[in-house]
Amino acid sequence: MGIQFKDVTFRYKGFKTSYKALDMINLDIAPKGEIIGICGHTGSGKSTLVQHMNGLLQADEGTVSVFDIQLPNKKKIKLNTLRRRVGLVFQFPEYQLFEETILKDVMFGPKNLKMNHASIDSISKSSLKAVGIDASLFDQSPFRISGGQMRRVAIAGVLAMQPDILVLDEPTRGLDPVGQKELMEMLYDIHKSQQKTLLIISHDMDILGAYANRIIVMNEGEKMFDGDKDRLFSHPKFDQMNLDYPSSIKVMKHLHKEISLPYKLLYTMDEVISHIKEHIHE
Amino acid sequence: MNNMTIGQYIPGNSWLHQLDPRVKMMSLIMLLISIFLIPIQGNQVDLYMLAGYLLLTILLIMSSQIPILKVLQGLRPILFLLTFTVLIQILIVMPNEKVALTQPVTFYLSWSSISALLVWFIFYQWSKKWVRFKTLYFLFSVIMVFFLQYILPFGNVFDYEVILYEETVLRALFIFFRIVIIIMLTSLLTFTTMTTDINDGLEGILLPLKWMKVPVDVLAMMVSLTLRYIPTLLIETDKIMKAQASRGVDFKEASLKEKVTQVISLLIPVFVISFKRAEDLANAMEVRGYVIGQKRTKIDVLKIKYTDFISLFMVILIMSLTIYQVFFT
Amino acid sequence: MIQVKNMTFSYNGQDEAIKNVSFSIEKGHFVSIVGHNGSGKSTLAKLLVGLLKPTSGSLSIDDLDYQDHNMVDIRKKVGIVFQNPDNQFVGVTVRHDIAFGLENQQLEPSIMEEKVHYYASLVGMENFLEKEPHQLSGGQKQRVAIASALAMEQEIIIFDEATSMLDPKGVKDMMETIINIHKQFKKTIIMITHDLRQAGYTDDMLIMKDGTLIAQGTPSTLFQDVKLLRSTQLLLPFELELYEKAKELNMNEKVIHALWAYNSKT
Repeated sequence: MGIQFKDVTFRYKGFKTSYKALDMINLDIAPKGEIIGICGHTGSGKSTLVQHMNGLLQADEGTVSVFDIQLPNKKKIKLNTLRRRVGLVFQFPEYQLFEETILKDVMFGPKNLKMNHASIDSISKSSLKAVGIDASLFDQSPFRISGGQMRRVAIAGVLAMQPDILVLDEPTRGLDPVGQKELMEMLYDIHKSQQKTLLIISHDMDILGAYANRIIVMNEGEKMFDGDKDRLFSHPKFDQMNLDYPSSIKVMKHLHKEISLPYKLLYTMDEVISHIKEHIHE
Repeated sequence: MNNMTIGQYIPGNSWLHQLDPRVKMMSLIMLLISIFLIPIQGNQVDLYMLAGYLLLTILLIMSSQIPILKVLQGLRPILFLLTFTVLIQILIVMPNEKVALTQPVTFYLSWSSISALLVWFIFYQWSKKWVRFKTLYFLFSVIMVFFLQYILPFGNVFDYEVILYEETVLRALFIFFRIVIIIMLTSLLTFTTMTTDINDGLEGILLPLKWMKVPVDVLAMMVSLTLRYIPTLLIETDKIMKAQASRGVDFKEASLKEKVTQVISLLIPVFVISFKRAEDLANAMEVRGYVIGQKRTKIDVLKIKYTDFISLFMVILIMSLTIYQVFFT
Repeated sequence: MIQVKNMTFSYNGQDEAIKNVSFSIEKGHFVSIVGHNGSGKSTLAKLLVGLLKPTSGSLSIDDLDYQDHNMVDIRKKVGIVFQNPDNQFVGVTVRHDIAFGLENQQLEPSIMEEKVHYYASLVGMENFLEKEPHQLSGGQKQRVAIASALAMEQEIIIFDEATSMLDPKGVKDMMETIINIHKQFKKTIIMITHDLRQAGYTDDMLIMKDGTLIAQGTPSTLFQDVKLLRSTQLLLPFELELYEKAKELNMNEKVIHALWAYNSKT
């Protein structure tokens, strides 16, 4: 069950050249309600990787198994069966909106998947509620709302397809800090209430630190690290990974050095404050 | 990132590459006009003139350092047209002087041959994706079409005779080579001139129209912006297609009504992006001092050199000789 | 150098996006304008480059009023780099884009050629002159935008959320370039951003809220004012938020001191 990558290699064929975007990737993602972060430099293969998960791209070598459907496949499979189970939200997803009303746009996905007619309406409405779009906006044009709201509508459009695994490619890109926080909190709530597995590609280590449990690090098409975030941030070879520490850890390191605060891997404001209070008294 | 560049320009250092684009374009137009002035009569002198143009074309290709294969590839799109034209000449057009070259050959459109043709047509469409040399395969299949009509007279419905006349053959060759020459000359232009230079050259040639209040410079700017954004738009369209595919858009398994919505799901986002882009771009251009219609200089200066003068002179000479030969002898 | 007096602006006569704002920016200063989404900072940028006209009040640079008949001269004094790397890249190649503004200034081709090479090298794009925009990353396109602005040799350059769409490396490169430009060319730089870390690099900070200017001062001074920061509706960077909370919760002086040191470093 879930998604398995076995020795997956993928090449982008250019005009006269080709380069390996993915090199011998082995990966296992089970739909058991976790949040997985994917990070790595631009061009490391993150976007390419997730596009294999819903059949947009198919491996040149190796196999990808998505909920027991194998790709590449000798038989002709309807890729929509994959897309029903793995929902992919692209960068700047607000660009995919096009319908006359917000509700209609969210219904687009379920309609294409030929979901049960009676339930499309209610599922779309509840998806919109889950992303914080008020019912009064349902009949509005998707182009008359703010950019942040448009992004939420786009995410609702993918949620309405009821995927088991939700993949988001840099969901906070281009948003201001407040917008980023609100979006991440919303995604976290959805994750909690629907027990959905979230795969989040992000460059923002603060976000990955605060929300993900497991982090996958991509580098030049290879999987450099796949495991618990604590293990990542205490990894002896961390400095060679070209990654930043989350701000909370950077502060902890500083406080440890300057005022001998015991060093601990902490990711949220509350955790840090409690820790300080515990060890240093007024 | 994408490594394609817009247009068909192949970098090089030949004299043809270095010619002023205005001279190249005007020369092309003059040569094309001259070629079309030669009548198709099938007359000896006319054939020699066309042969002369063919020779010129080949010489130009060789001196441009553009691989001959590339130029021939430019003929692929019109392969069907060429074959069709030649066949029409041979099969249908009646010459004035019937000097037969062959015995009459009978072709049959019979029940057997028609069914064979259908089978062959379906087979060809299905099998062509596996064939490497598609052009040759196409020509082979054309020959098959006639061969089948030749050997299957059973259940005859309609039969016709074909005789190869000297005149028709000459006409067919004439028209064939004329089309080939004009395509090759035009390809040479696009292979040896950068798209921006073509745009600048066109602007330069049409500049006199400014006297008639035609905003040539503004139009050239519009073309330039379009050229700049085509690759970007293609990349963005691809992203939107993927996003909508992730929402279940599947062109193969959709009813007509659904297909319409799916196309709209692609078009509207592209429009929205383009409108926002137009607004941002207008602001950026305005802040950088662009005023529509106001005089501006260009970093790429088109300079006429000796070679340009000589080339233009030669072309005018060729055109004059052709006109003289065609109209005054 | 830049004087803004009682400036008000509203889009088509409705709600005021900018309400009675007054401030001045000294020549050669590195200034940031921060504010929540909708605070009016981008509108302010457009007003400063003359793309919008104030509904009331005045704007002037070196005593030159922002009037229609002065626009050509004003365009010679202030340039801008926008947020979207693709939507301000005019030229077919890097070279053509940097030259665009110079062509509008009707410079001689040989001079343009020199300037294009010089400013391209300054931003590290001298090997990319023949590249087309779709072959470049967002960060590279923004560097070209900076080169284009530099090439026009305006004294004031505005950066309107110019790093918002970039990845961390792109942001870092761009910030380094901006700081270098300020040091090397002594230009007046106005950086509009929602990232307070970026604002920390500047000499002077203006805070916008709901269309009004609620504070102006050095980042050090303003960052120590907890009440002010809380009223801005801005989300503070982790270390700054921690510092403010430490003060609010009356933590041990050691902690507050160490946190302030950390904030000053970054």
